[in-house]
Amino acid sequence: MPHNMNNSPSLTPATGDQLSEQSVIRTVNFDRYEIEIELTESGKFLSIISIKVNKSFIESMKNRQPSDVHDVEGYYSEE
Amino acid sequence: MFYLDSPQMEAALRFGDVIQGFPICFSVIDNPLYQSDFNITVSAPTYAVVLSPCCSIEDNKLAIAPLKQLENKIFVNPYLSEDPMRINSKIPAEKSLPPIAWDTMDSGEKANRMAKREAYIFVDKFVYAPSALFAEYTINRKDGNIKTNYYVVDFRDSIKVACDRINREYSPGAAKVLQLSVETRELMRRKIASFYQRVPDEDAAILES
Repeated sequence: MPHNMNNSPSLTPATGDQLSEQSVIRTVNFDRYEIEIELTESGKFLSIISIKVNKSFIESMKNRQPSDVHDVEGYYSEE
Repeated sequence: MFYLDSPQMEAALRFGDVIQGFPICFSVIDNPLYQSDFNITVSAPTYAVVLSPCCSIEDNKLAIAPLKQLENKIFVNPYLSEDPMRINSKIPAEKSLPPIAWDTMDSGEKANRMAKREAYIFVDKFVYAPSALFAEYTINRKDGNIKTNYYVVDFRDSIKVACDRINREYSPGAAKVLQLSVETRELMRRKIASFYQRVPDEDAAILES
Protein backbone atom coordinates (compact mmCIF):
# COMPACT_ATOMS: atom_id res chain seq x y z
CA MET A 1 0.00 0.00 0.00
CA PRO A 2 1.44 3.42 -0.89
CA HIS A 3 2.54 5.48 2.03
CA ASN A 4 3.25 9.17 2.21
CA MET A 5 6.71 9.37 3.70
CA ASN A 6 7.42 12.97 2.70
CA ASN A 7 6.26 14.77 5.81
CA SER A 8 7.43 12.42 8.49
CA PRO A 9 10.65 10.83 9.57
CA SER A 10 11.29 7.43 8.18
CA LEU A 11 9.71 5.32 10.85
CA THR A 12 8.24 1.91 10.75
CA PRO A 13 4.47 2.23 10.92
CA ALA A 14 3.14 1.43 14.35
CA THR A 15 -0.23 0.34 15.59
CA GLY A 16 -2.70 3.22 15.15
CA ASP A 17 -0.76 4.95 12.38
CA GLN A 18 -2.93 5.74 9.42
CA LEU A 19 -1.36 4.91 6.15
CA SER A 20 -2.15 7.80 3.82
CA GLU A 21 -2.07 8.38 0.08
CA GLN A 22 -0.51 11.43 -1.51
CA SER A 23 -3.06 14.24 -1.42
CA VAL A 24 -3.98 16.56 -4.28
CA ILE A 25 -5.59 19.99 -4.14
CA ARG A 26 -8.42 20.85 -6.48
CA THR A 27 -10.32 24.11 -7.01
CA VAL A 28 -14.07 23.78 -7.34
CA ASN A 29 -16.39 26.60 -8.41
CA PHE A 30 -19.62 26.61 -6.48
CA ASP A 31 -22.11 29.43 -7.07
CA ARG A 32 -20.11 32.61 -6.42
CA TYR A 33 -17.31 30.85 -4.50
CA GLU A 34 -14.00 29.20 -5.33
CA ILE A 35 -13.37 26.34 -2.96
CA GLU A 36 -9.99 24.62 -2.61
CA ILE A 37 -10.36 21.05 -1.44
CA GLU A 38 -7.85 18.38 -0.59
CA LEU A 39 -8.43 14.92 -2.06
CA THR A 40 -6.57 11.64 -2.00
CA GLU A 41 -5.17 10.50 -5.32
CA SER A 42 -8.12 8.16 -5.59
CA GLY A 43 -10.52 11.09 -5.17
CA LYS A 44 -11.51 10.67 -1.53
CA PHE A 45 -12.34 13.96 0.19
CA LEU A 46 -9.90 14.95 2.92
CA SER A 47 -10.49 18.62 3.80
CA ILE A 48 -11.43 22.11 2.69
CA ILE A 49 -8.32 24.25 2.30
CA SER A 50 -9.93 27.61 1.54
CA ILE A 51 -13.11 29.34 0.40
CA LYS A 52 -12.97 32.62 -1.44
CA VAL A 53 -15.29 34.67 -3.61
CA ASN A 54 -14.78 34.07 -7.30
CA LYS A 55 -13.01 37.07 -8.87
CA SER A 56 -15.00 36.82 -12.08
CA PHE A 57 -18.20 36.91 -10.02
CA ILE A 58 -17.05 40.11 -8.30
CA GLU A 59 -16.23 41.56 -11.71
CA SER A 60 -19.63 40.64 -13.13
CA MET A 61 -21.38 42.16 -10.11
CA LYS A 62 -19.44 45.38 -10.66
CA ASN A 63 -20.42 45.44 -14.32
CA ARG A 64 -24.05 44.63 -13.68
CA GLN A 65 -26.48 47.40 -14.55
CA PRO A 66 -28.17 48.67 -11.40
CA SER A 67 -31.89 48.05 -11.33
CA ASP A 68 -33.90 51.15 -12.14
CA VAL A 69 -36.63 50.26 -9.66
CA HIS A 70 -36.74 51.16 -5.95
CA ASP A 71 -38.08 48.28 -3.90
CA VAL A 72 -40.97 49.86 -1.99
CA GLU A 73 -42.88 46.64 -1.47
CA GLY A 74 -44.07 46.47 2.11
CA TYR A 75 -43.79 50.19 2.80
CA TYR A 76 -47.18 51.09 1.33
CA SER A 77 -50.44 49.53 2.46
CA GLU A 78 -54.08 50.26 1.85
CA GLU A 79 -56.00 51.96 4.67
CA MET B 1 -48.56 68.94 -21.70
CA PHE B 2 -49.86 65.48 -20.82
CA TYR B 3 -52.49 65.10 -23.60
CA LEU B 4 -52.72 66.58 -27.05
CA ASP B 5 -55.47 69.12 -27.57
CA SER B 6 -58.42 67.66 -29.50
CA PRO B 7 -57.58 69.32 -32.85
CA GLN B 8 -54.05 67.86 -32.71
CA MET B 9 -55.23 64.31 -32.11
CA GLU B 10 -54.59 61.80 -34.89
CA ALA B 11 -57.44 59.69 -36.22
CA ALA B 12 -55.51 56.43 -35.84
CA LEU B 13 -54.94 54.66 -32.55
CA ARG B 14 -51.64 55.18 -30.74
CA PHE B 15 -49.98 53.59 -27.73
CA GLY B 16 -51.37 55.18 -24.57
CA ASP B 17 -54.60 56.49 -26.11
CA VAL B 18 -57.63 56.65 -23.86
CA ILE B 19 -60.53 54.86 -25.52
CA GLN B 20 -64.15 54.16 -24.63
CA GLY B 21 -66.64 51.45 -25.54
CA PHE B 22 -64.23 48.53 -25.30
CA PRO B 23 -65.31 45.72 -22.97
CA ILE B 24 -62.74 44.10 -20.70
CA CYS B 25 -62.99 40.33 -20.59
CA PHE B 26 -60.74 37.84 -18.80
CA SER B 27 -60.90 34.32 -17.41
CA VAL B 28 -60.80 33.46 -13.72
CA ILE B 29 -59.64 29.95 -12.87
CA ASP B 30 -59.65 27.98 -9.65
CA ASN B 31 -57.06 25.48 -10.71
CA PRO B 32 -54.94 25.57 -13.87
CA LEU B 33 -54.95 21.76 -14.06
CA TYR B 34 -58.67 21.59 -14.80
CA GLN B 35 -59.18 23.57 -17.95
CA SER B 36 -62.93 23.12 -17.93
CA ASP B 37 -63.25 24.84 -14.57
CA PHE B 38 -63.18 28.58 -15.16
CA ASN B 39 -65.29 31.71 -15.12
CA ILE B 40 -65.28 34.59 -17.54
CA THR B 41 -65.44 38.07 -16.12
CA VAL B 42 -66.71 40.84 -18.35
CA SER B 43 -66.79 44.49 -17.43
CA ALA B 44 -67.40 47.69 -19.29
CA PRO B 45 -65.00 50.26 -17.89
CA THR B 46 -65.77 53.82 -18.80
CA TYR B 47 -62.30 54.19 -20.24
CA ALA B 48 -59.46 51.91 -21.25
CA VAL B 49 -55.90 52.53 -22.43
CA VAL B 50 -54.18 51.17 -25.54
CA LEU B 51 -51.15 49.11 -24.53
CA SER B 52 -50.17 47.84 -27.98
CA PRO B 53 -47.09 49.68 -29.25
CA CYS B 54 -48.02 52.08 -32.06
CA CYS B 55 -46.35 49.87 -34.69
CA SER B 56 -48.22 46.76 -33.52
CA ILE B 57 -51.75 48.06 -33.84
CA GLU B 58 -52.66 45.73 -36.69
CA ASP B 59 -53.78 42.17 -37.51
CA ASN B 60 -57.22 42.61 -35.91
CA LYS B 61 -55.93 42.65 -32.37
CA LEU B 62 -55.30 45.25 -29.73
CA ALA B 63 -53.89 45.07 -26.17
CA ILE B 64 -55.80 47.27 -23.77
CA ALA B 65 -56.17 47.73 -20.02
CA PRO B 66 -58.85 49.52 -18.00
CA LEU B 67 -58.22 53.00 -16.63
CA LYS B 68 -58.76 52.70 -12.90
CA GLN B 69 -58.98 54.87 -9.82
CA LEU B 70 -55.83 55.31 -7.74
CA GLU B 71 -55.33 53.12 -4.69
CA ASN B 72 -55.33 55.06 -1.44
CA LYS B 73 -51.93 53.69 -0.36
CA ILE B 74 -49.96 56.11 -2.50
CA PHE B 75 -51.35 59.02 -0.48
CA VAL B 76 -49.33 57.91 2.53
CA ASN B 77 -46.35 59.54 0.79
CA PRO B 78 -46.81 63.34 0.59
CA TYR B 79 -44.41 63.51 -2.37
CA LEU B 80 -46.81 61.36 -4.41
CA SER B 81 -49.94 62.83 -2.85
CA GLU B 82 -48.82 66.27 -4.00
CA ASP B 83 -48.45 65.03 -7.57
CA PRO B 84 -49.42 61.39 -8.30
CA MET B 85 -47.85 61.67 -11.77
CA ARG B 86 -44.42 61.52 -10.08
CA ILE B 87 -45.03 57.75 -10.21
CA ASN B 88 -44.45 57.97 -13.96
CA SER B 89 -40.83 59.06 -13.68
CA LYS B 90 -37.73 57.95 -11.82
CA ILE B 91 -37.47 59.55 -8.40
CA PRO B 92 -34.76 59.82 -5.72
CA ALA B 93 -34.62 57.07 -3.07
CA GLU B 94 -35.46 59.44 -0.22
CA LYS B 95 -38.71 60.41 -1.96
CA SER B 96 -39.67 56.85 -2.83
CA LEU B 97 -40.92 55.90 0.62
CA PRO B 98 -43.34 57.36 3.15
CA PRO B 99 -41.33 59.72 5.44
CA ILE B 100 -41.84 57.52 8.50
CA ALA B 101 -40.29 54.56 6.67
CA TRP B 102 -37.33 56.60 5.40
CA ASP B 103 -36.68 58.34 8.72
CA THR B 104 -36.57 55.08 10.67
CA MET B 105 -34.51 53.14 8.12
CA ASP B 106 -30.95 52.20 9.18
CA SER B 107 -28.15 54.14 7.54
CA GLY B 108 -26.73 51.13 5.68
CA GLU B 109 -30.03 50.43 3.94
CA LYS B 110 -30.43 54.14 3.14
CA ALA B 111 -26.96 54.21 1.59
CA ASN B 112 -27.78 51.16 -0.55
CA ARG B 113 -30.95 52.78 -1.80
CA MET B 114 -29.32 56.15 -2.44
CA ALA B 115 -26.57 54.45 -4.45
CA LYS B 116 -29.25 53.60 -7.00
CA ARG B 117 -29.93 57.31 -7.48
CA GLU B 118 -33.20 57.85 -9.29
CA ALA B 119 -35.43 54.87 -10.05
CA TYR B 120 -39.07 53.95 -10.59
CA ILE B 121 -41.55 52.98 -7.91
CA PHE B 122 -44.75 51.07 -8.68
CA VAL B 123 -43.11 49.98 -11.93
CA ASP B 124 -46.34 48.32 -13.12
CA LYS B 125 -48.35 51.55 -13.05
CA PHE B 126 -48.67 54.74 -15.08
CA VAL B 127 -50.79 57.61 -13.82
CA TYR B 128 -53.04 59.59 -16.16
CA ALA B 129 -53.48 63.31 -15.59
CA PRO B 130 -56.89 64.76 -14.80
CA SER B 131 -59.09 65.52 -17.79
CA ALA B 132 -62.44 67.21 -18.09
CA LEU B 133 -63.74 63.83 -19.25
CA PHE B 134 -62.82 62.02 -16.05
CA ALA B 135 -65.20 61.86 -13.11
CA GLU B 136 -63.91 63.06 -9.79
CA TYR B 137 -63.84 60.46 -7.01
CA THR B 138 -62.93 60.32 -3.35
CA ILE B 139 -59.92 58.63 -1.77
CA ASN B 140 -60.92 57.63 1.75
CA ARG B 141 -58.16 57.99 4.31
CA LYS B 142 -58.04 58.09 8.09
CA ASP B 143 -56.38 61.50 8.02
CA GLY B 144 -59.03 62.97 5.73
CA ASN B 145 -60.70 62.20 2.44
CA ILE B 146 -59.15 63.44 -0.79
CA LYS B 147 -61.03 64.29 -3.96
CA THR B 148 -59.09 63.56 -7.13
CA ASN B 149 -59.50 62.79 -10.81
CA TYR B 150 -56.15 61.22 -11.50
CA TYR B 151 -56.51 57.73 -12.97
CA VAL B 152 -54.04 54.90 -13.43
CA VAL B 153 -53.32 52.03 -15.80
CA ASP B 154 -51.80 48.84 -14.42
CA PHE B 155 -49.66 47.09 -17.04
CA ARG B 156 -50.55 43.73 -15.48
CA ASP B 157 -54.21 44.26 -16.46
CA SER B 158 -53.47 44.03 -20.17
CA ILE B 159 -55.93 41.94 -22.23
CA LYS B 160 -56.44 41.32 -25.94
CA VAL B 161 -59.40 42.65 -27.88
CA ALA B 162 -60.08 41.13 -31.30
CA CYS B 163 -61.73 43.35 -33.89
CA ASP B 164 -61.77 42.88 -37.66
CA ARG B 165 -61.50 46.62 -38.15
CA ILE B 166 -58.19 47.01 -36.33
CA ASN B 167 -55.33 47.59 -38.72
CA ARG B 168 -52.71 50.27 -39.34
CA GLU B 169 -55.28 52.60 -40.90
CA TYR B 170 -58.11 51.99 -38.41
CA SER B 171 -59.72 55.18 -37.13
CA PRO B 172 -61.90 54.47 -34.13
CA GLY B 173 -63.74 57.78 -34.40
CA ALA B 174 -65.51 58.71 -31.18
CA ALA B 175 -64.10 55.65 -29.40
CA LYS B 176 -60.78 57.48 -29.13
CA VAL B 177 -61.14 60.22 -26.54
CA LEU B 178 -57.62 61.28 -25.56
CA GLN B 179 -54.15 61.00 -27.04
CA LEU B 180 -50.94 61.37 -25.06
CA SER B 181 -48.43 63.99 -26.14
CA VAL B 182 -45.29 62.57 -27.72
CA GLU B 183 -43.34 63.36 -24.52
CA THR B 184 -45.86 61.59 -22.27
CA ARG B 185 -46.03 58.61 -24.59
CA GLU B 186 -42.23 58.32 -24.39
CA LEU B 187 -42.43 58.41 -20.57
CA MET B 188 -44.97 55.59 -20.63
CA ARG B 189 -42.96 53.62 -23.19
CA ARG B 190 -39.85 53.85 -20.98
CA LYS B 191 -41.77 52.76 -17.93
CA ILE B 192 -43.46 49.75 -19.53
CA ALA B 193 -40.06 48.77 -20.97
CA SER B 194 -38.61 48.82 -17.45
CA PHE B 195 -41.58 46.79 -16.25
CA TYR B 196 -40.63 43.98 -18.64
CA GLN B 197 -36.87 44.51 -18.46
CA ARG B 198 -36.36 43.63 -14.80
CA VAL B 199 -34.00 40.68 -14.42
CA PRO B 200 -34.48 38.59 -11.28
CA ASP B 201 -31.29 37.99 -9.28
CA GLU B 202 -31.41 34.23 -9.84
CA ASP B 203 -31.50 34.73 -13.63
CA ALA B 204 -28.78 37.36 -13.52
CA ALA B 205 -26.47 34.98 -11.65
CA ILE B 206 -26.96 32.33 -14.34
CA LEU B 207 -26.62 34.78 -17.23
CA GLU B 208 -23.38 36.17 -15.81
CA SER B 209 -21.77 32.81 -15.04
